Amino acid sequence: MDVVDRFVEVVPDLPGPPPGDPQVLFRRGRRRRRRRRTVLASGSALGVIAVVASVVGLQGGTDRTVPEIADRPSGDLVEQAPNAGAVDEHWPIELIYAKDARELRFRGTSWADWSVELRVGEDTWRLVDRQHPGEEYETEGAGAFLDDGSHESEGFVRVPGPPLMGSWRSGTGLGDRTVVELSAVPGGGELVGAMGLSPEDVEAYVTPNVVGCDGPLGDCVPAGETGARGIAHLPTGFPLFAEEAGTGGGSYVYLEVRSIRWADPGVAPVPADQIPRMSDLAAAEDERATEGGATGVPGTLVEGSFDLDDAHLWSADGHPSEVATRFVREVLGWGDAAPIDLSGDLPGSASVTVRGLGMREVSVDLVALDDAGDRYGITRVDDRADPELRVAANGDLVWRPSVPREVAGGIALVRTTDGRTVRLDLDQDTTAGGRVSLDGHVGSEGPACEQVLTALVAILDGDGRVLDVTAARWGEHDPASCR
Amino acid sequence: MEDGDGFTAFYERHRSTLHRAVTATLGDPQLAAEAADEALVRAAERWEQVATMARPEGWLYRVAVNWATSWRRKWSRRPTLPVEALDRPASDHHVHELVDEVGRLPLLQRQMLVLRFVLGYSVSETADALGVAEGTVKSGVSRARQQLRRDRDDVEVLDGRG
Repeated sequence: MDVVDRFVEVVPDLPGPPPGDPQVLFRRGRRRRRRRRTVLASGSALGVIAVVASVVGLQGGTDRTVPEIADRPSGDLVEQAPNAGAVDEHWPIELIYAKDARELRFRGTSWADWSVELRVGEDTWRLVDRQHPGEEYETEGAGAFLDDGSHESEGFVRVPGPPLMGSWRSGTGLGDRTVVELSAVPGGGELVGAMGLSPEDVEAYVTPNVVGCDGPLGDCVPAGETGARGIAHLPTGFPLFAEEAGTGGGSYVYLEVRSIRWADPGVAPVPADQIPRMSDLAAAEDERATEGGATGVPGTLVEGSFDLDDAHLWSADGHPSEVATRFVREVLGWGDAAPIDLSGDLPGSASVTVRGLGMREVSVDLVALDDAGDRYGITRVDDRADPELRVAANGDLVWRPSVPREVAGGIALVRTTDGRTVRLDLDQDTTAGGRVSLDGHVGSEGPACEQVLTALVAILDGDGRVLDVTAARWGEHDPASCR
Repeated sequence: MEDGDGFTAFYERHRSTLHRAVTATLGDPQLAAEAADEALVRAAERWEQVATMARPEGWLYRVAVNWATSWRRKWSRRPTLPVEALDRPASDHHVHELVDEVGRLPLLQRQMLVLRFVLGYSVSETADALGVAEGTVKSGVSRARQQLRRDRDDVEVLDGRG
């Protein structure tokens, strides 16, 4: 009997898999399928159907009765939103938009430096549009932000500071417009409130032919005409919502904001002369791809200490680092909930290195220091690379600590979408990693489309000191299945 | 069409075998468990097609191995960490001496052995599953056998058994 024969005999005796639930995997596969279909539907007729559905959601129902005409004519309000394209100041911001059946992420620090990415996976975004300071502009399909994507334009030069405000208003049929109260846009107040804004923070517009009508847009438009509505953010001029409709038809939603995140004001982004050029980033990526393993990450720009209470992190290209800010803020958030777990162990300051290749990959190291200034723990959070902590296909929380040590155990803090923080005590040996079932601990409350969990595992030594901390986000955010 | 019941039967029929086959290929039961579940999720995602496959084991196996090797590759590309303590050693998963021996073969040869002899695929089916020519499977299996024999002889010589 040769080695292969004996190998074959051994295989059935190898350890079997841990218990699992087939229905968990089945449901997860079906959710992925729905999400994939949603992405594939972008730009197609299916996309239009989804858009109409989203309008129904915004209006809070499917009532198609002819609306009453409000007796208050509008037009006496003065337009205030600035032409944001002319505002050359820093406003670090991230906005998530729904457009057709897609999700777009706008991030930037000024009109000379911004990017638009298209969601192509659970936590994966593809850069589709970008303004880099003074750089030649490249795109993989322009118009993702404002246009309908029907035209291609690649490799053209864009001067810094395109006037967004005028572009989006004219592009959405609001070139000729009247400023109205927010209440004239059905669902507008709810949308603005959901973003944490007040009606005073925004400006609403309608085309003159629908002034005074606050019903479904298609029912407001006179025969043979088209009408439009929009909402802008007053300080910046960012569009928050825009729709257009013809007589009696479903409306086309150009944009609908899903979330806004603002960096704290007064924080200077990375100086422009430290921002790597696109060509450098491309060369660095080529080098990484060729060598298959880098000894350092090109584009390291920021390294220094900061107070956890005043943490402002920036990715290599000057954009606020989503991972970094999210991580730190969530740590602080958890710290509020359970101060002993983290804040009590971490000192008041930490060294942070933000590395990144543009918007494509960002990793953050959070190094914990002891009183003598020696490093004793580190956290690495990768935006695109594989996290050290993740939720496996069967829903288990799986981690592999980056520092293998003899440890006493660990704690996992899992925050659910409804804001609860669940602490799990990990009493097993965590040296080589491990897993814990989230089922029964975190639960799956709420619709599947909103099951987005953030989780953090801290590995402790026998004295309760934090040896290693790792964080991950697990999303099942699936807008399509919510409709 | 939703078919959770059909998937449950499919899961129960294939999961253990898939897990052991991936463990035998990669030598890491934990990673194999995750890879097997990932492959089953993808099967659910494409259930209409997968449910009609005459022998889905090869498809599941290939998906699982590809996922696991991709995960490992990306993990190994992680940048050098700035703290010495982060130079973590590679995971040490010792499953079985024979799995270790087979694990020293090139990945493609390991997959050929597992598909051909663990999952019982024919040469033709193995070739189809791996996207290679039948001749490649035949020569690959032959080379794998020779290599394993040489390794075993070397060990016996070193142990004074030769």
